[in-house]
Parts: sequence; C-alpha cells; structure tokens
Amino acid sequence: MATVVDTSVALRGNLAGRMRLGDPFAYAAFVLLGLMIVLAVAVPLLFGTADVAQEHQGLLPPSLDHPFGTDKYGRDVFLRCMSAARVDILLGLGVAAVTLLIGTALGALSATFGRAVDMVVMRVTDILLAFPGIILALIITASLGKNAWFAASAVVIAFLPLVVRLTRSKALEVRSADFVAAARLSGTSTTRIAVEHVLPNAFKYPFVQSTLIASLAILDFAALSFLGVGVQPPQAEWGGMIAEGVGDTLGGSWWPAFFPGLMVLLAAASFQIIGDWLDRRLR
Amino acid sequence: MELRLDDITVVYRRRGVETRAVWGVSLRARRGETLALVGESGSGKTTMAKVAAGLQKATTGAVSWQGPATGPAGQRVQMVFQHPVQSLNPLWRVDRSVREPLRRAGVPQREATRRVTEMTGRVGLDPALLDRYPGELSGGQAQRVAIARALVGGPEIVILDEPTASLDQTVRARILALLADLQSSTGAGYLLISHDISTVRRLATRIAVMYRGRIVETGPASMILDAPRHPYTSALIAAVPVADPRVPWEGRRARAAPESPCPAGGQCEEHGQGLHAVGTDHLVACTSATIH
Amino acid sequence: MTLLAVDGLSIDGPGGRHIVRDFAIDVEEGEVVGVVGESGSGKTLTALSLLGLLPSGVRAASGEAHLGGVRYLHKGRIQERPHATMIFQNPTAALNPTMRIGAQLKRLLVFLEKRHDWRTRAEALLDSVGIDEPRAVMSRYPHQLSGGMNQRVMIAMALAAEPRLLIADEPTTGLDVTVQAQILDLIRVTVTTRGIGVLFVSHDMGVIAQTCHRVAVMYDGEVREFAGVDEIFHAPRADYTRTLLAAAGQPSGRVDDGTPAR
Repeated sequence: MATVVDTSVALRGNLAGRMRLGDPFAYAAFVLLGLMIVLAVAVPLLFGTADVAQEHQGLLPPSLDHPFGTDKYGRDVFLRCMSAARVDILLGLGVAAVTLLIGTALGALSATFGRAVDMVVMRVTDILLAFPGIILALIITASLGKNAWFAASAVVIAFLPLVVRLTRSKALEVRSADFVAAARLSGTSTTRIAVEHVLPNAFKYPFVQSTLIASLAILDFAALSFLGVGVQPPQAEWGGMIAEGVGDTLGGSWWPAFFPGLMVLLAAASFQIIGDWLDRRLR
Repeated sequence: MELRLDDITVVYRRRGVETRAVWGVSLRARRGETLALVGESGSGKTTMAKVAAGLQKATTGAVSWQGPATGPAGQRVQMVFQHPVQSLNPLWRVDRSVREPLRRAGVPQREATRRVTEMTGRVGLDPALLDRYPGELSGGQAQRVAIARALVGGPEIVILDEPTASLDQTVRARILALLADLQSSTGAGYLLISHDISTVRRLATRIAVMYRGRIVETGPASMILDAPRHPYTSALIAAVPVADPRVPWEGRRARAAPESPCPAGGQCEEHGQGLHAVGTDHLVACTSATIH
Repeated sequence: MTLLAVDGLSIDGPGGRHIVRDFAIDVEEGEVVGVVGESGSGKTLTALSLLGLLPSGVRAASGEAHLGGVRYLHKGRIQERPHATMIFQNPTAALNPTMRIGAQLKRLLVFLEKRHDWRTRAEALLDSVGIDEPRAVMSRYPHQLSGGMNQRVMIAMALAAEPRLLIADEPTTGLDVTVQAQILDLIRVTVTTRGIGVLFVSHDMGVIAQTCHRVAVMYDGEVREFAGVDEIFHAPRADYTRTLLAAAGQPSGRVDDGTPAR
C-alpha cells in the first residue's frame, strides 16, 4: 500500500551524538571553513579592507609585509581577500538558506495541494531550469542592474528550481507512506499532514542539497562579479579580483589573480565536502 | 453500526490504459466480528481496503454507515498496516503516534494520557517503550504500538491489512492472539485483508474470496475453509502447504497456466457473474458450483 | 554419495560480531535439505557464503565445504568456483530490468558455451521449467511478467549451467500461494529428473514440511537441530524447534503463553 520510506534514519534527539566527525576530509573542511570565517570577520576589523592603495608601487610579490603580495593599485591582496571573504561566504550561506526556505515551502506546497498547484509550480521550474544557471543570472542582472543584491537574487532564482523539485519528489514519496495514511484516518487535515509529517521527513534531502548549493553559489557569484555584473568596485570580491588580476598574470605577476582564485576553490570545496559528509551521516 | 460498501467499482486510468481493480463488490463490516477478504495479487482486496478506509475513491458505488451511532462521527475507521515500523512517523516518539487520534478528536490532555496508558497495557507493550522512536523497535513491538494507535480512539471498524505478513513466525502467533483478544474486549469489528489462510483461520468470522476484482465466494469462515464451493477457493486452500510432512499436499501444478477470467476455465466473464446462494448465507459466483 | 558437506562455517559481521557460529550440514544427491529460521538467524548469509557472495563488511572467518568430494571452501574462503548456482527471493528484482528475458538468456548461454544455437537451447530451457510460450516470454522485460514467471526464468537460468547443487533462498516468499505451489513442484520435479541437490532456505514451516527431506533449524547463528523432516515435525528435540512448530500451529509444538512483548 505504500512505498518504502527511509525510516531507519531519523533526525532524532540525539543529533549531536550522531554528528560526531569521523572523517579526516570533513574534519579538514570544517576547520578550513571555520578559519576562513574567523579571518573574514577579524582581519578587516583589525587591519582594514585595503580599498585604497597602501603602497605607491604596485605589484609587489608576496613577502612578510604582504603575504599575498599587492595588486596593480598597490593594495594588499591578503586584506582584500579577507574583505572579499565576508561577501562571498555570506553570500554562499545566504543563498543556501533562502533557497532552502522558499524551495522547501514551494516543493511541499506543490506535492500537497493537488494537480493545479503542482502544474503551475512545475511549469515555472521547468522554464527556469531550461536556462543554464549562469545565463539565467546574467539575464536577470542585466535587466535589473549591476548590483550585488540583484546578482544574489539572480543566483537564488537560478537554484530555487532544484530545491523545489527535490523537495516535491521526496514529499510525494513521504505522502505515500503508511504513517501518513494513518494520520489521515485519525482525522489530520491536509495542511497539518504537510507541516507535521511530510515536511519534517522530507527535509533532510533539500538540507543536504543546500550545502552543495552554497558551494555552487559561491562559484556562480564569483563568475558574475568576474564578468562585472555582481559586486561593484571598490568592494573586494574574489571574482572581481580575479578579473582585475588577469592582465597582471600575463605580465608575469601571478599573485593578484591566483590568491582570490585559491580562496574560491577552498571555500567552494569546503562546502562540497561538508555536504557529502552530511549526506553520508544522514543516511 | 455497520460499514457498508455497495457495488464498488474502481477503475484506474493510466496513460490511456484502463485497469479495473475492483468490479461490483459489496461488503458489510460489523462490530464484534471479523470479515476476511482473501485473495492473491491482483485480486483487488487491497483496493477494497483503501476504499473502505476512505483513502481511495471508488469510481462507482457507495460507502456508508448504517445503524445506530455508538460514538462520535470522526474516526470510525482505523487501520493497521503490513509494515509496522513504516506505519509510524519516524521522527515522533511512539507515544505521540498513539496519542494522535485522541488529539485530533479534541480529547483533553489528561484523559488522553489515561487512555494511552490503558491501551498500552492492553496491547502488552512495555510502557518504557513509549519513549522510543519507531526505528528502535522490533517488528512485533511496533505492531503493538500501531494496534494501540488504531484502537485508542474506540473505532467501529479496524482494517487489518496483512497485519502479520512481515513479522516472524513466533511473533505472528502472539499478535494474532492479541488481535483476537482485543476484539472481544473492545467490540470493534475487523476487516482483515490477507492472502494467508492460517491468519484467516485464526481470526475470521466470515470470509469473502476475491479473484481479479470480483468476489467469487462468501460465507461463514468454517464453511469457506472446510467446504468451499467455488473452484478458485478450493484451489487456494489446497495450495497452502501444511506444516506436517505426513499430510499429503494437493494443489500442485508444474506448468504455468495462462491467466483466465475463470479459474476453473469456465466463462463467467460472459455469463453474468452474479452471486448465487448455495446454502444459508453462502454465496458463490460460479454457475458450475450450483450445478452439483 | 554426499554431494555437499559443510563444516565449521563461521561468519563475522562488522566489528567482529559473530553472526553465524559453527554451521555444519550435508546434502545428498537428489535430496532437498531445508534451512529454516526466523529473521536474524543467519540462514541467508550462510547460503551466500557457500558461493562466496557475502556482502562487504561480512566475512566468513572459518569453514570447510566439499562439493562432490572436492574441497572448494577452505577457512571460509572460496578456493575454486563450485558447480553450484543460486536462486533468490523477489525474482523480478533479481533480473536485469533493462534487458529482455531473451537477451539475458543469450548472454548467459553464450558465456557458458559459445554456440550459435543459443536460441533453441533457451527455448528448451524455458520449456523445461514449465513455461508454455517461451518465445513470448523471451521477448518481454521482467517487469512485464508476473513474479511466478520470473521465478521460473530464474530457475531456468540457474539450471543452464547444469549445476550439481542448487541453493534456493526463500524462492517463493512474496509469491501468491497458488504460484508457490507450482514453483515448489517444479523444484521437486527438477531434483528428481536431474538428480541435483538443493539447499532450501526458508522461514515457512509449511513449505519446509512439504518440500524437504532433511531440515536444519537455525536460531541466532547456530544450528539447533538437523534431522529428517518427519523427526523435526513429529519428534523434535530442540526447544526452539518446538517453538517454531507451535507458531506454525503444530501439536508437537510447545504452547505459547503469550507473555507481553519486551
């Protein structure tokens, strides 16, 4: 009468116990991300954001004074990277959180309230999914304007369909479970079933997905800023810094583009690894 | 009070293909007795259970309650499912699951707790287990929880959908004994869906045999089990291997027979499949059965 | 002559937990030996270990097995592949869902002996397991056939290699009772005509009673009793055997007192 729902795993009260780290990669990812967040907060507070030049001569290679060197305007690359970290990491987390909230709500709605609602939601997600994420984000920012907020919203819209689809799919599975049938027999209303039974049991899937979305969001946002439609100068942002540093690399000064690139890689990879770890833990 | 299903037909439409799961089936489920719906896969018995529970709409036919009301209108029908652990919300402690029908019915907290405690005792469940999650319980324990949940609100009819099919042999016997016991103490009626003759033998007062969406025979349990008239019923009972090597086993056929509308090779599909009486309260849908 | 002789088979799970301890059994040619137990008894893992099919994390720590006098299992490990095949529970799931039956049979037969006339051989095989229209069945996918039909196909595939021993793990659990009767009869006929031995794993006492010549009763990883089917059902010696019989409704069983679940 029902499909099998994974009941062997539950986000139970002893969640803390089950989240014990046992995996060196995941451990490293947590430490790295934690470190980046701490530095992103502390460094700009203590040392400033290096929006203006500190050295008269630009393109100084990495040294003790300037661990990541300086860019062509004489700005310390390390300080700029940390200033950028605030934006990018915050963005990753923000996009993940917003897509999770809105996406799960829409997905659950789509799965619960019948064909008509489902059709509408599905067709809209179909349209959004027809565009590659970057293109969609570009279109949106191009029409709205070059602004970090617009770019962030564009990234949210690009990823929303994925969360909606996944939530809907899992919600439909949960809805066909015997315990939902039992709830109906006990007189539970459709809305209450969605909120008390379906959503909580379906949630772990989009939750894991959102960590991966955080990772991809950082990459997309960096790409948008690289193309000039995201964060505007002089605010530092990894993608923007890479764009500025490309020319310098060709001239032999590799550091203004390399270090922000490295930051993007480390941040995105950390989120991915954490996402994989979460996925394994919750199964 | 009696749950009536009259002339139920359920047709599924999938990609333009129509499948008739149930065809013109009528049933009555009453308090204090067990009606067993017996059949193999494709018989439509599961669909009938869903219709009776109100979880599925019949394409044609009526579901109604007849007789004097013995309680509030809500939750007259409850259900116990085949896979006990999956019939409980994995994120809820089982106490909450048992309590839920009472909460939905607006029973105040204190009274609800009293009833839950009482029912827990009656189903033979250790009260300490109420704090556990379904994944921490064995099949037998989880089924006891599910039974408690089903009965705590005092339903008229409980649908038992293969209640012991996924339980171990030794646990099965105890759960069946429990169900029989609870029927006499609560007075609830059971609609038992099963393909297992021994389970049916243990619990059924009356039996209705289904084959490919239709009822082929119905009557008192003893009559159906010991003196079946429809060839399909006979074949079904004979096919069950007896747990005794000394008892000769009938029902063997090495070759795969093609699916026919009539298990006896007749033409009931064309010749009108009404049920004919072959004894007091004993109906058979087979023209050849009435001949002898 | 003794077809299969197993001795001292022990299986450990993750963390060194003992799942099966000291399993020993023998099967003669033309005989069906049953292994009966409830879930958690270790009967399925035992069957899998005899063909080296244990899942990861589970290993046979010790055990010897001889097939036709030749030792093929030593210290729990397969030394050379035995001339034995297996059929499983849920036949539809055990077949490749993306290939038609005919294609699956072709693959198997060509692997066993490269012949151009695999089609004739396939049809003969399907006919020998009681399938009336082999060509029709061969053109279908597993999900288009009934569970009973798929089980016949699986038996045909298991017999294609002409094994000396057939291991059947709950082959009729989940099938309709009338279909089950047919499949069990098919197995019985196969044993008689081909003279193979069958190791039949099941939890159903009725099936065991009607199919097996000798029975091993397993509980919690151990063989509690191993005797002829009549003795098991009418003169059981082990307590657990009596418990199983009582649950199956047998007079020789001990009456269950229905104590509350703990």
